[in-house]
Amino acid sequence: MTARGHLPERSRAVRALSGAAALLDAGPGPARVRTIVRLLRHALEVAVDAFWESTRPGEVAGRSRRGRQIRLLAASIDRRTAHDVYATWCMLSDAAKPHPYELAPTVGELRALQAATQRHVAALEHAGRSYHGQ
Amino acid sequence: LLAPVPAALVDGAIDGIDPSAAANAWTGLIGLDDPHAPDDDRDRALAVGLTDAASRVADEVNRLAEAATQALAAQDTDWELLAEQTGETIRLMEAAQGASLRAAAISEARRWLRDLTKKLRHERVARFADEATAIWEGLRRDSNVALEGITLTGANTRREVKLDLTVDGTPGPQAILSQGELVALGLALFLPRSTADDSPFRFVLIDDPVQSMDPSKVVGLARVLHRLAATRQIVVFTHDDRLLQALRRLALPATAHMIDRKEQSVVTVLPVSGRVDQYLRDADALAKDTVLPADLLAVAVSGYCRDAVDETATEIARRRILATGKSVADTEAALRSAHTTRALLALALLGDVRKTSGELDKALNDLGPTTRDVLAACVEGVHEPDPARVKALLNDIRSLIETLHAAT
Repeated sequence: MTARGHLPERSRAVRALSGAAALLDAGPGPARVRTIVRLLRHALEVAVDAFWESTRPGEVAGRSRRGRQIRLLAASIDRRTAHDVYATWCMLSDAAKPHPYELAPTVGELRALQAATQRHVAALEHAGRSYHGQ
Repeated sequence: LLAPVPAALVDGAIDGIDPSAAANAWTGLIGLDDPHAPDDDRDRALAVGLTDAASRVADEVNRLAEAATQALAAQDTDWELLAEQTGETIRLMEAAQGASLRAAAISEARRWLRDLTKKLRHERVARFADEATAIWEGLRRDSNVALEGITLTGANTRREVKLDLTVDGTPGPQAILSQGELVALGLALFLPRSTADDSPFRFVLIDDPVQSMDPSKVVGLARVLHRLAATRQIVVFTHDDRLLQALRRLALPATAHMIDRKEQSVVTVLPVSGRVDQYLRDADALAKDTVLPADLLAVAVSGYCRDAVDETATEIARRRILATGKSVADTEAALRSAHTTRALLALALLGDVRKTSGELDKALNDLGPTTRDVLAACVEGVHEPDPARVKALLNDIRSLIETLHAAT
């Protein structure tokens, strides 16, 4: 437990990922799809926050719009990975908003987003550790 | 007495008489008189010869008379035909003379009718043209193409609509119009016709009118349709939710249904709700879902609540800024400058994205004693979830959204 009485950032990201996986395995209905997407996006955002807090404490996380925080990753981590993280976050954000005339993501698309998010959370954690030479 | 042969027999002046045969016959008569014969024989031969000749002459005269009679009859027949034709021609000429007088009157009447039709047509088109120009003005928004007038040209079965378009005040060809402008122009022409007073239909069906339109034209269309909906039922089919968004952003009344067609053409019609309602319904559904652990459920519900508040503040702020007369682009830019829930609320309640501290706190306190706590619970709940408050948070957020709408 942290000083705020909550799980550390990495654990929170992993926990959100596990929650999304549980809902996916339980069979996603229309309402669950948006919650799965939200949990995946939450996991990604928490991982981004953790990266910035470990590399530039107090400078980025919580100080600008989420999209900008993620785009700034390109200056600090592998550019290809940074662009992929941003693209995945955009897809998750778009899917989280209700669009009455568009189809919700299919299970296959959800699983692809889940896999991408897991990959990005791991990459961000690795990048954070590498920054400190761990 | 008999010599010489009369000239009329020799020169063939008489039709039907062979001149040589006649001359021979005459010469034969001359031969009857033999001066060397005794007088009695001479007289007898002459008498017999002359009697015979007289009989032949009579026959010949009869034949000639018959031929002359026939020739006269034939000529009469010819003349009768010509006389009939001449009579008919005279009758036609007299009729034509009378008709030409009437034709002049008819030509005059036709000219009058044509001019009157043209005048009436212009008056009718002028009515639509004014309406079409007004609709185009409502739709064109940021377009620099102006519709100066509409005229109908052509005659008989050929009709052409002439549009007087100008680009920045200069007459311009229609080829420079964008696809969105063409659609808007088509609507500007179609809507006045379809909503004319003498139209038997009191409704208008429009299929996908927002295609290719830029955001400001969609806002213009929403206003135009709202104005027409005062006297007509307006039904719009579209795959593009921007029109519905525009109607909601302008707080214009509209009923939306989603038509879902599945296999075998099984069609379901469902009411479409706004994003705020959808977020809250998702949160309700999630709160009843037993799959997620309590802490993650609280995180997700807080996220939904925060998005519902953000969306509500965005709707109110957008309406507030548009009401000041700002353009759609400037309004969206102002909304983009609000990065946080508090900034959106400052824009919605105070009209200034920078007033996020003391002034916003005061405005929130004015809305109710628990408003700030409810906001804090949904904003911070994403990071510090409180599983025990999930149901209470949902109720509080619903009240807060109602309060925000009531206060603005």
